[in-house]
Amino acid sequence: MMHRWARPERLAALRIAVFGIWFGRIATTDVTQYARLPSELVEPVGVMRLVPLEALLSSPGLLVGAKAAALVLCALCVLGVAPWRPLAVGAVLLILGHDGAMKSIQGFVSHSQMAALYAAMVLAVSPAADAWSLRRRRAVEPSEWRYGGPLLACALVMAVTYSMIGIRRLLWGGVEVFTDGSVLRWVVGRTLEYAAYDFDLGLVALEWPAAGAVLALGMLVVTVFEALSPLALRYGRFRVVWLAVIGPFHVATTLLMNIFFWENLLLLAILFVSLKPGVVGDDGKVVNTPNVRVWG
Amino acid sequence: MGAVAWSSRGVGLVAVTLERDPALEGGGEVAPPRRRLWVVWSGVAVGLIGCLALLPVAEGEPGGGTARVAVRWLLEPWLVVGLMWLVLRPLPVPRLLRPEQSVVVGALLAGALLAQSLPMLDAYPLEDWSMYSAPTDSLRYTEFLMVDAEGRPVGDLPIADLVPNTLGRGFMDRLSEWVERAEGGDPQAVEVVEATLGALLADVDEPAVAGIDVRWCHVETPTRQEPARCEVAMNVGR
Repeated sequence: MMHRWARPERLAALRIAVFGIWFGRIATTDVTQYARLPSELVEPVGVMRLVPLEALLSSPGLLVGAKAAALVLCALCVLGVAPWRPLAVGAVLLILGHDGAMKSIQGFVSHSQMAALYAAMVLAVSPAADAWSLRRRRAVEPSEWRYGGPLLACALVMAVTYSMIGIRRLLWGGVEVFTDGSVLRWVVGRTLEYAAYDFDLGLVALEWPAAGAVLALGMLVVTVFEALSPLALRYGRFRVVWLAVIGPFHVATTLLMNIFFWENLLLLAILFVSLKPGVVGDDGKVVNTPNVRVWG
Repeated sequence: MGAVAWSSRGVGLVAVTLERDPALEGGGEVAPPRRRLWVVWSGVAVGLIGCLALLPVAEGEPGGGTARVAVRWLLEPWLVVGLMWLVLRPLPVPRLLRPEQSVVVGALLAGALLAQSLPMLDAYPLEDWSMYSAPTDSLRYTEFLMVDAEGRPVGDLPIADLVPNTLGRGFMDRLSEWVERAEGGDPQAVEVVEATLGALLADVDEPAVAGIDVRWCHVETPTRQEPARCEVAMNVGR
């Protein structure tokens, strides 16, 4: 099982990446704009149903204050400042509020940034500030699962998210979704639609008669690997093949559909890839093997 | 059927690849007997092939029909949980969690699984967003185009100025629902759309811009000459 003897530095890298992602996301959001939206547009989702969201979103001062607090807490979490847990829990609550407000404005829960959100929750209750932090306390020697447990939990969340989507597509889409031209329509539609990016490779596909079939075949391959994602946590060889499919898949959705989850690529790199060749054995020592391993 | 054949072959190849994983053999964990592993993999293969072969005529969005509810209840969450079980089986849970923690985690998982299995609770994350899982014979998207006084397009409305980039499409979908209601004559919807687009227009400095055209665009049989058909649904002036 991967991450069994993970070192504190790996968990610290995840902490810096996750809270860094949220710092960037929140810093680049002009929250005062929310107050200009008609309240009818807002439909609270998830836990946001428990708070007076409409009233909160209509108060620019409150929004700016919450944004400032979130930025400060995220920055402190990136630095790993003590006391770690209260600061991290506070940051997670504000991140949850930020993400919940955004998703309430669109009226449904999408998977955007969900991996980073769940990872922040896991990190808040883990010893994620034991390394690469401003705390005086030094990291303890890694014991079995001390640092690997949270890493495995985050990897599991990511894998299950992919898996649920893949299984949903297989169950509800059946064969038809891969044979009736839907994939080409999605690609063309998303290319034409307004987006944060402006790639038009999806339209180039229209100039090539076989493009629809190639795209559908690629989608089928991706879907099967998405469905099987949890297996990447345990089986090293599958993990290599899985990464070789899922990584390029995220690049392809950027070029073909203007949908880019760069956060997922970053988290995949931290959670599923190791530059260190070798397998970590039961005694915590790295055993070199002739093959480059991905989190043995 | 080609897809089914491909799928079964692909799953078989994956199973062969995983059969002798050094992480299992050399990592201190007891590798399961090969035969048992093959039984598990056969189950996974049957499940996946079943998804493709037994449900060849997709019905798209969930809901309706006892049979589909039963299939969903039986397959969807349990396939995910089954894969998780397969993966997490070697974890030494008693060493990782205290007994009371195990009970809490187990209860949470059981509750989540039950909630996700019951369609009336609407708790499954993909319930409201099918994530490209339904066949689409006509994809519709909405364009918010800035137009001049003669109705000529000047450019896309800068939605990203109002909402974060990642929310742009979600926000447009939400606004489209209100445009649809406004088209149907709902005065409150007209007010909401005009207020929202008016706020966006107020930020546009370009003097040539006289208003916003909301256009429904349909992608059915896309060609290079006509990738989509668009028609104006509504216009909001300055």
